[in-house]
Parts: sequence; C-alpha cells; structure tokens
Amino acid sequence: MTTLTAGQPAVATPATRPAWRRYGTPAGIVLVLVLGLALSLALGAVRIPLADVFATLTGSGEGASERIIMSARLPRALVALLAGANLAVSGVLLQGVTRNPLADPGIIGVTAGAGVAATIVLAAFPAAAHALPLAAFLGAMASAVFVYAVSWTPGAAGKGGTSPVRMVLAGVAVNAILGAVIGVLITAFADRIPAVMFWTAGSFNGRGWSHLWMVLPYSVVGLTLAFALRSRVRILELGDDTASTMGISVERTRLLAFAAAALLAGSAASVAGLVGFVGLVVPHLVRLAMGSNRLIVPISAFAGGALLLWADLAARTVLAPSELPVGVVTGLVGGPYFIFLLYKSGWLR
Amino acid sequence: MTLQAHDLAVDLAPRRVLTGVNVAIEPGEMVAIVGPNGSGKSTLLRALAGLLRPAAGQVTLDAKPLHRYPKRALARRRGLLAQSADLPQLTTVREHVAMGRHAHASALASLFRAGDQSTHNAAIDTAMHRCGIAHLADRRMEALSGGERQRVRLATTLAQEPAVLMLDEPLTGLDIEHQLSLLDLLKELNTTTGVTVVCVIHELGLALRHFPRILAIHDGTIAADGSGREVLTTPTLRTVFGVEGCACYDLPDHPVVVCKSPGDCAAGRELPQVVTPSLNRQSLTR
Repeated sequence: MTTLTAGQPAVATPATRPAWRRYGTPAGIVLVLVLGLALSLALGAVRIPLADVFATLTGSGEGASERIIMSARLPRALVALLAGANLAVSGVLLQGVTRNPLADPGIIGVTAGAGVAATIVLAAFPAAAHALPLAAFLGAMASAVFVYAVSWTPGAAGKGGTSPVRMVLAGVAVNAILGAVIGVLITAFADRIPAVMFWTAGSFNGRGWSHLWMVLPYSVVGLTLAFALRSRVRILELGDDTASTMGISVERTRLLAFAAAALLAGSAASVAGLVGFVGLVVPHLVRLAMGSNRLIVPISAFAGGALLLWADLAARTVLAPSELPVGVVTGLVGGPYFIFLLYKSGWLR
Repeated sequence: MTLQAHDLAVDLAPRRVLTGVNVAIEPGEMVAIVGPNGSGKSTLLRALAGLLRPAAGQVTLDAKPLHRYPKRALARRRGLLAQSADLPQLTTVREHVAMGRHAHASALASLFRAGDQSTHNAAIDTAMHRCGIAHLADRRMEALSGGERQRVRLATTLAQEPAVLMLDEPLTGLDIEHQLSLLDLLKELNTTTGVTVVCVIHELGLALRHFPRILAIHDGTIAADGSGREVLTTPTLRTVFGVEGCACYDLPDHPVVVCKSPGDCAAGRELPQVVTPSLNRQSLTR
C-alpha cells in the first residue's frame, strides 16, 4: 500500500516531526524526572551524598541518611511526583472532554471544592487537621458531581446528555459560588488566614507515607482510566455526532473521563493543596515540545511529576530554612518557560 | 444493506420535526435529500444514521432496527460526515483518518491500542488514496485548505468501511471546483465500491446532476421521491421551496434549476445562461 504515494514529489511529504523530537523529548523528560528525584533525596537541611542515596534506595543504606530519606524525603518526593502526574493527566482529559484548551482541574470545580472543605477544616476545626486530606478530597468530589449534575440536560425519551459548553459554564458558576463561600469563611475566621493561605498555595511540607498511600489508589485508577480512554477522548474532539457514528458511546466516555479527571485532581489537591498551573499548562508544554498529541497521557504524567518534583525541591531549598508554597514556584518558573515555548513555536507571532 | 424508515416521526423538543416518513434506500443507491431550511432534511439524515431516537416508527438497516445494533457494529455499517467540522488539535491527516478505524479495533485492543495505526494501515491507505489525500498524510489538519479538510473528513468516514455513507451538507464552505470534485468523488466511490450514498444538499442543480434519486422534504414529510425529473418539477418547486422555477434539460448533463417564470422554460430559450460548470480535472491537485 505504500506504493500509492509513489510518484508524488518528495516535497509533498514534509517530515513534520523529526525523530529526535519523537524519542528525544520523552527520554529527556524521564531523565529530568530521575535527576529531580535523586536531587530531592540528596538536598535539604542535611546534604546526603548521592552515593548514600543510591545505597539507601538499593536497601543497603544506614544511619541518619537512611532515616532521613526513608521517613521524609522519599515519601515527600513520591507524593509530589504522583500529584504532578495526576494534575497533568487530569488536565489532558478535561481539555479533551470540554474541547477547551483552557480547561484545567479548576474548571470542573474540583479545586474550589477542595478549597472550601480545607478552609472549613482549617478555620473552624483546626483540631481536626489530620482529617484535612480526606475532607479536601470529599469536597473536590462533591463539587465535581455537582458540576456534572448541573451540566446534564434531560432530553426527550430519557435521552439526556451533557455538552462541553454547559460543563464549562456550570464549572464557572460553581467556582464563583464556592469562591464566595471561601471568602465568607476567611472573613469570619480572620485569625486562621495564614494557615488557609499556605494550604491554598499548595505545599508538600510534612507529607509522608500515609499521604502517599492515600493518593496512590486514586492515581492508579485515574491514570489507568485515562490511558484506556485516551483515544476515545481524542475522537470526541471531532464532535459528538461524528464520534457517535464512529462507534463511541459519547455520554459514557465523557462521564468516565470526567470521573477520572475528578479523581486525579481531587486526590492531588487532598495531599498537595491547590497547586495551579500544572493541570492547565503541562499538556500544552508536552504538545509544544512533542509537536503532536501522540502519547500525550503517559508523557504528560511524567512531565507533570517531574515539574512538581523540581518545584518542591526549589520550594524547600531556595529560601531554606523557610519553605515557599510549591504553587508559587510552578508559577514563577513554569510561566516564563511556557511563554518561551510559545514564542519558539510561533503561536504568539 | 437496505436502509428503511417506517412511519418515522422525530421530535426535537418542543416540536415534531418529522412525521410519517416512509422510505427505503437500497444498496448502491445515490440519494440526495433536498428541501428548504428548517424542513427537516438534516433531522431525517440524523435519524437515518441512528443519532436521534424516533418518537414513533423506526429506522431499520437490513430489517433490524438501528437501536438493536451495538454502537460499533452500526459504525461498521454506516458512516456519517457530519455538518460541523471540529478541528482536533495537532493532528496529522493520517492520524485523523486513523480515528475512523475505532469501530474495527476489538474492544480489548481499543483499550490499549486504539488509534494504533499498524493493524489498520491498509484500510487507512485505501481511504486516503480514494480521496486523493495520500500525499498529505503527514500534514497537520490546521495547515490544510477547507477543500482538503473536507476530503480528509470523508476519508476518515470511509476508513470505517461503511456500506451506507451519509453526508450532511458536505459542500458547505467549498468553492465550486471543490464542490464538483467532491460530488464526482462520491459518484466514483459509489460506482467502484458500491457504497450507498445519502446526502443532504442545498444546491438543486448539483443534486439533479449528481444524484439519480432525490427526496424532497417539506414540513417534516417527504413531498416527492423519485428521479430528478420527477421531483424537481415546477409544482414541487412552488410548494416545497416557494419559488417559481423549473429544471431545464436542454443541456443534457447540466440541468439547472432557475427561478424564472415557468413559461420561459417551455420556450426554452430565454433561460439565463447559468450552467453548472463541468469539472476541469487537470486543475485538481490529486
């Protein structure tokens, strides 16, 4: 069948994607991730030589280094990695499902829902702070379910449905409501503002194995669903009618992708607080760097994980011994880099 | 595959858009659906494609109601080139066409390798070749002209390998050359592969020239059904479209529908010289 194009002038088939981009970019992202992981384990209040880091990871570590890595740095790094992967893949799914390149986990109310629940706990029940991740997760899920319910239109003969536009608008409305609730709460509990603000900007301070076990099941389920749904979500981009006549169950696909995105972003928010930017920008970063949508789900997962790993490393080392909120770092570093990529690719010209 | 509507009625809340539609489309037919705006022709096409649930009656494909087909099984039998053209991000022509293979990937394989191109290469190549876009395979959709994009979308539908090909106003936004080449392509597909073609179309002259059978829809019912000569008569044009006119067959391959008093047509000479141009194949970039 390849002979069909014989006779076409060679210039008619420009290689739009050089091979180095197709294989080099994912390899580079994985390299950055591994390097970030190694440095996360090595750097901090106590510097641990990379040799000791390696020894600890292979099970032959000992003494203080081993304790620091195994009880604090490794779980914290893994939580950051998973949270980043979750947020990035959540963004990929939502941008596809809503057909909106500006969609991110915030748009389906997950962020605001987690924010309200966390604010309630931090402001009104500071003694119950250990329940914060669970509360944030439940808040995120409740508000995602509400957004989905609002965007559902009952149709004739029981054949209702959602639409991407309704979903986005419902999310905007729910965000406005929940934002107002947060405003009321922090006005009423003004003395708790610093704690709320720090959580809201996102942080991995003090995250340990229990947080990892909390987020891991949702990551596994959400990332698996995202991987299984990826091609269907792409076909949805052709429009509901086209996708449906191609054999896609449009509503079921949309619901599953929505649920996966909510699980991913909600679990990330529960352990990381509200880290912006990752869900919105990582998918675009990956597309710009790859020049295509191929493997967007797995590569975004790695890129999101690498981004938060490095952001957390910077957050806790740049101004040591004080810690920056990780959301501040993602914005400060990721934003300019994103603009650089936009210019390089010619999108802003 | 015989596509049949039996006493079909369709509601688009709050009103009934189609009532009592009975039609049978046999394998290998080329049928145009014409009618004024709002008459229900797109609704009829979408109901025939199984996208709308009938309020009464049913649509059958080979005597089996559409809703009894699993979605993928139906997708392997009929394809629809929908009216709206959503442009997926950063997609090459080949990737776009490959999406048409979704219904042919097994359920398990589609979980893990849908959009996987290797197993479906032959069908994808054939579809691209038939639509004359094989040389564009690695181009991005954003970089194509409207006419090329429409061919890609058609190739994507053909990659489904449907027995019935449905098109909803596929000529919208195309210049006359691309309109004609697309219609010629449909005819060619119909002749070479035997695919049934059902097409909603606005231009009556093009419908007459390219489609042996025409359904005229008026107020949600079939007002006329038959060959162009039988359907596009002066009375039908008056009742269905609300215009005075007639089809002129003086130029055998180039029937034109004009809006002029019917008397002129009988005289046959005072017609405006609006002739549907024939296609200069050399100018096509194939």
